[in-house]
Amino acid sequence: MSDALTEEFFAEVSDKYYPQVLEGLELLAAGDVAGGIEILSRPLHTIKGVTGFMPGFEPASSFTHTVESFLKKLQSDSLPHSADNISLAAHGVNSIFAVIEQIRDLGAPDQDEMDAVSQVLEAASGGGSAAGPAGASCLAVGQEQGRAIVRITAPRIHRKHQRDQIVGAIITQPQETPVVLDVSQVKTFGSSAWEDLSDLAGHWSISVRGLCGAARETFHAGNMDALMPLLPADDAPGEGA
Amino acid sequence: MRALIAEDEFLGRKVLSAFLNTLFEVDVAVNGKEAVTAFQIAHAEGKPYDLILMDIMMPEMDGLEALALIRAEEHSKKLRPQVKVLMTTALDDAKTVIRSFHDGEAAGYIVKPVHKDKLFAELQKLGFVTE
Repeated sequence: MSDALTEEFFAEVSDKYYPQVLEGLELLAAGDVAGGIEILSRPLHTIKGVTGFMPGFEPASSFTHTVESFLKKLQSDSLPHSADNISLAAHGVNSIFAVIEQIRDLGAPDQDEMDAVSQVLEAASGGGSAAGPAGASCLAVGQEQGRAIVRITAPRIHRKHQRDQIVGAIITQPQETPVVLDVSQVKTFGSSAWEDLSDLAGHWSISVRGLCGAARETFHAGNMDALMPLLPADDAPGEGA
Repeated sequence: MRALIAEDEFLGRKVLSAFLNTLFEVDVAVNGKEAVTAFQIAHAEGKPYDLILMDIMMPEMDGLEALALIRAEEHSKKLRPQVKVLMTTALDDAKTVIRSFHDGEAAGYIVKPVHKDKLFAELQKLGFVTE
């Protein structure tokens, strides 16, 4: 039965849940948090329940539960409807689909990525410390070919103290020195953090390298490429061809 | 806490009642129609069920139809929280499993025979029992 269930489940995902989820995410992005979550709740509940019943897909069920809990907190106003939280919610929902597809295609999810998303959701809910304790350094500053390299070392940039550190690292550079923001170790980068940097972009020459994953999504969603050019992947010394 | 067991087989009702009666005040219904009536009476009494164990294949009205009526009533009368429903059934075909979760918003699905550890694992997930 499990093969038949898997086949039927993915047919439903494709025909029914994707469209529902896309509609929910569009409402979320448009600021209708209650309406968006209302639409998201049915397909996510189904994914949680059915994957819990599908051998091998149990991790997807637990992960969906974590995302669902975050959405419920947003829905009940236990969490503020900030741009960062909405962005995290959308990332969590998208990650559910990545997880079920990984299990189907590869036999197992990317556990590190799944754990990282779970941790950042829990941290944003006030229950974890994925972004690190307040005051912990999230970056390292160095020099490279006449440029200041601000290398972000934390995998998640969402908290104010992290944003303040990054802004502080840039504004202490001479304005004639180009600044390279190296985010190659970063998985998620909140839109508020990009907005902070966009305020500096007219005063410092800031470029970005190593952009990947969900950090890329928030970067492009905020049209940051118009303010901070992206450097090629082989910009860092010793990398590339 | 109150629980309703909707189950058409006498032995099934007896076993499930024995499992639950240490945790819940248990009522039983022998088909879907009775289950819907019991749900309505419990709300009218101001003591709604916390849990329903719902068989799917029952005479007169099956479990999925009964669950659809219960959800419709919760929706129209804005009854919150929704009652948690565990489907307890011999049917494990893909469409029925998916329909239970998607259309019926079931909280869980247990394929018969219902063993105590399987049932209590689901109750633990729902927060009715702790480890």
